[in-house]
Amino acid sequence: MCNHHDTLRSNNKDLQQVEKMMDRRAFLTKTSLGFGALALGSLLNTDKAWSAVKNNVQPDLGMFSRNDLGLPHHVPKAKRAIYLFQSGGPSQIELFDYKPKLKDLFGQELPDSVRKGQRLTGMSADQTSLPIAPSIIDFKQYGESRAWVSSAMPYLSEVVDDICFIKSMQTDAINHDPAITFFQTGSQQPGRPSIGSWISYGLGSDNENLPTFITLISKNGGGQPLYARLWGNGFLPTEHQGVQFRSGKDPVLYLTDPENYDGHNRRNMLDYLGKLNDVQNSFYGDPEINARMSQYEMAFRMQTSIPEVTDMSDEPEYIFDMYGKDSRDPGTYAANCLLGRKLLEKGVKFVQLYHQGWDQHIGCPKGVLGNARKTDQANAALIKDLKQRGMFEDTLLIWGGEFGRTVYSQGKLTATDYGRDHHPKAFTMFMAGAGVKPGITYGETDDFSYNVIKDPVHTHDFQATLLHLFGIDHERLTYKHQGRRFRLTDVHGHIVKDILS
Amino acid sequence: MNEASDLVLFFGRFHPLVVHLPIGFLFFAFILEIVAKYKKKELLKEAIPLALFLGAMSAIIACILGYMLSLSGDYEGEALDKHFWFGIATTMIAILAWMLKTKRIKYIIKESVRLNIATLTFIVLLLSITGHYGGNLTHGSDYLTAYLPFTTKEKKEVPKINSIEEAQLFAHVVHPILDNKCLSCHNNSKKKGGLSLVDEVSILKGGKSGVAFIAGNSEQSELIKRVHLDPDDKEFMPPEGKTPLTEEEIKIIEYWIDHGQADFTATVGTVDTPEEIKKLLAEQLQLGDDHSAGSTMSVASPVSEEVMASLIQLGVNMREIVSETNRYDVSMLPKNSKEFDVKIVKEILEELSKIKNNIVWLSLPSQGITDTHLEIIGSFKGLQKLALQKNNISDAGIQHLTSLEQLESLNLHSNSLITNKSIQQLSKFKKLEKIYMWNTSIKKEDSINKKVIL
Repeated sequence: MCNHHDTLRSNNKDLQQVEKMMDRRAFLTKTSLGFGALALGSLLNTDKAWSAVKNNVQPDLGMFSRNDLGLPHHVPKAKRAIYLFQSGGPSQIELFDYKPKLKDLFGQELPDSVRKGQRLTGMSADQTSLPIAPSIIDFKQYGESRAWVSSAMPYLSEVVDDICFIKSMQTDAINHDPAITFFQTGSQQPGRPSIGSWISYGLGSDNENLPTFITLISKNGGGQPLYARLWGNGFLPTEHQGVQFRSGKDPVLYLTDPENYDGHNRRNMLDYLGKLNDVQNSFYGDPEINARMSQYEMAFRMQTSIPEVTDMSDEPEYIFDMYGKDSRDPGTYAANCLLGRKLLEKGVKFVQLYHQGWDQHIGCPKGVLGNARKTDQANAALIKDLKQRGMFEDTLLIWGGEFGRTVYSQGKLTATDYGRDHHPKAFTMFMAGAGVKPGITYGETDDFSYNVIKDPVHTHDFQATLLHLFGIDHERLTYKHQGRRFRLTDVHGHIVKDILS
Repeated sequence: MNEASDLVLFFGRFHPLVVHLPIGFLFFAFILEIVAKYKKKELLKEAIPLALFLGAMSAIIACILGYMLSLSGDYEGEALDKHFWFGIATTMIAILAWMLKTKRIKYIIKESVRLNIATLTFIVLLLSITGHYGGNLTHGSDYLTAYLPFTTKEKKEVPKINSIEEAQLFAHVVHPILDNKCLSCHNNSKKKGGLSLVDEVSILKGGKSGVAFIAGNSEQSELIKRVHLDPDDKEFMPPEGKTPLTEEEIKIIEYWIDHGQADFTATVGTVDTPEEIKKLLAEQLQLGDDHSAGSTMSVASPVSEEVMASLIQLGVNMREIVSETNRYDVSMLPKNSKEFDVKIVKEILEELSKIKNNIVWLSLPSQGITDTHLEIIGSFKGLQKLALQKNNISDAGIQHLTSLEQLESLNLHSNSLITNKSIQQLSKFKKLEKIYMWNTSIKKEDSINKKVIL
């Protein structure tokens, strides 16, 4: 029963005492849980155990052939996704939600009948006046779908017929930290797994040499901070954590061999390290040891896979031209879009981009235009590029922030300048690609872009729909933690069927 | 028969509780006898008459209560008769055994021990039979054996169908719902409320509250009324503890009553069917649009473990499209043109052709695939999506693909040898919706086909 005494034994008397205690405990947990697991396994797998065909391929063969969680639940439309997160809360009023009637209401007080006592942030709650600020950026209709897009996004206006705009997004949180955490993990409080981690946990990897879930952040981003928990694994096994690539030349640090070492015996080193970790694992049974081992192995494989996938030399000039001149500068949003596409081509399942700086409390028009300049061409190019490569039919593209912005001006309203505060009750996102109806606008807001008057889509609804497109029933992908089965959508979420193709 | 007073029924319902007493007592008497004999514990013998006495007495009470319960009319038929007579027989033998044991009846055979064991064994046998029939009455005759290993489940023969239109409303759609949710209490041996839903004859007969269905009027149909009640209502069906009908199931039954006039032979094709119902039917019958998100997929025969293992070793990624359907999304990661190896591609394709019926999506980008390889791929008849971008395919190879009638999406981008000729061939495909031809020799101005994406 205590065979690990041979492998791990201390000469120190006190430690030996501890080891013996550990034995009894280990014996009890291992036997009771072990038998429990055996019984459970046979309960869950009876028909498989009795059928002639064994579906379990040996684990060392790598890629699995049957998903242990019984996923996908239904035929998936999306095989991969790229989520272009616009952090800070882009103004729907300056970009997509065209409200011509506001022009006549310039400077007038936001009616209480519209606000309906909606809470405001501490930044504008003390304002004596909430003057209506119409957008000074022009709008036009584009494409066969006649979608409204402002002149801030000239490139995107070329591809509106491939896009599904959702103008009726709603969220629960009003400040950045809870709102962005809510969007990415389904809970305003930290600690839950992010969307990408759920996907990784549920569907596994398509390329063992790269992480399943990769995060790219635009460099030199000011504004609201981002935190690792947004791509964190929460209580899911650590392997499902998103791997953040650094913006700049070296996306993953320490992959290159140190000076004067050619790496020829690294495989040996990892094998011995693996043995040591195995001993540790059999002693403590801590799943983090497995996670660490798999991360070491992943890092080893990434030594070759990362330089390969981040090598831009095989991209022709006209592709760079399509994404814009920023795309030649590693770490920019445009370069990240291009890199994101390369990662998706290489079998990465979930690529999450973050672009900071959409928090226009002051200088809204200028700020929106500035951010649009950095992102617009790349957004449109990514859609076109995915399309021509045939990836658009099974790649889901998502654009959106954590909330929208108020119709009233925060701070002083002038003819050319105004600020906008956070607004969670109505904002615009767009989705495109796999399984999403192209060229439609879903949902409507009132004349003030303040309340949703038709087809509201809550954050949980968006998350449920996202999982649905991956073939996952959001109510059935659960993970038991601290005695409760957790879901990305908690106890909420309805699939927005009307936007599915 | 339905005239039994409430009091009789009240006591009658104690039958399932009380029956366990004679079972316990009589079985214990048997155990005492055995142990006393083989372990030579004479003292135990003294308890046997008491156990038998209590067993016989409680058996008599159980019989009376059982008879009272049977007056409710909820149970009928052969199963009830058998339970009834075996129950009485068990009771009689128990009384007899007690009398023998206490020498109230004199008997001639000397070896009393053997006789005792024989009677008691007989009692245990009778108990088991009676109990079994009783259980069948309560839970349905297939309750015990439904999950018996190593048996194939018997299914009523219903003709197989290929489209929703062919489906018989009752046999294919409504009856399976009733079978699943109602029949355990409303069958020919256990007719709760006097109602059996086993077949046309018994359904038309109805139950105590009248007929179950009124053709063309689901709102007035008793069965529909009952399933729509508040779940806390006493009349709500199915009763507490049983799985209620889903909204979809209720809609389907209502559709059968309203649109199908509760006809037992009508098929979906002959009845005016709303789109919404068609979707529900397709889902229930697992037919129709295979590939739309949210739909299911038919199940293929499993892939052999060796083929799977060798494919995985060759670097092929096998992903089941829907869990446990054995239908696969087969893909390989793009290779560097320096790593192209025509022989390995051939080996992989030959291995894949062993499981060609299981492959629905195939993605082999940048593998060095040439025209000759397409001959093998052309035999993968079930393919719906085929991605062969960045290979060395020319127009000559495309003709091998014309046999892929299920193909919906074909990706050939960056195969520089492909020209307009291929488009002409591909336009013959009926289901093909998207053809990706960017970065080939096809020029924008040449292409008139809307399906072609450049």
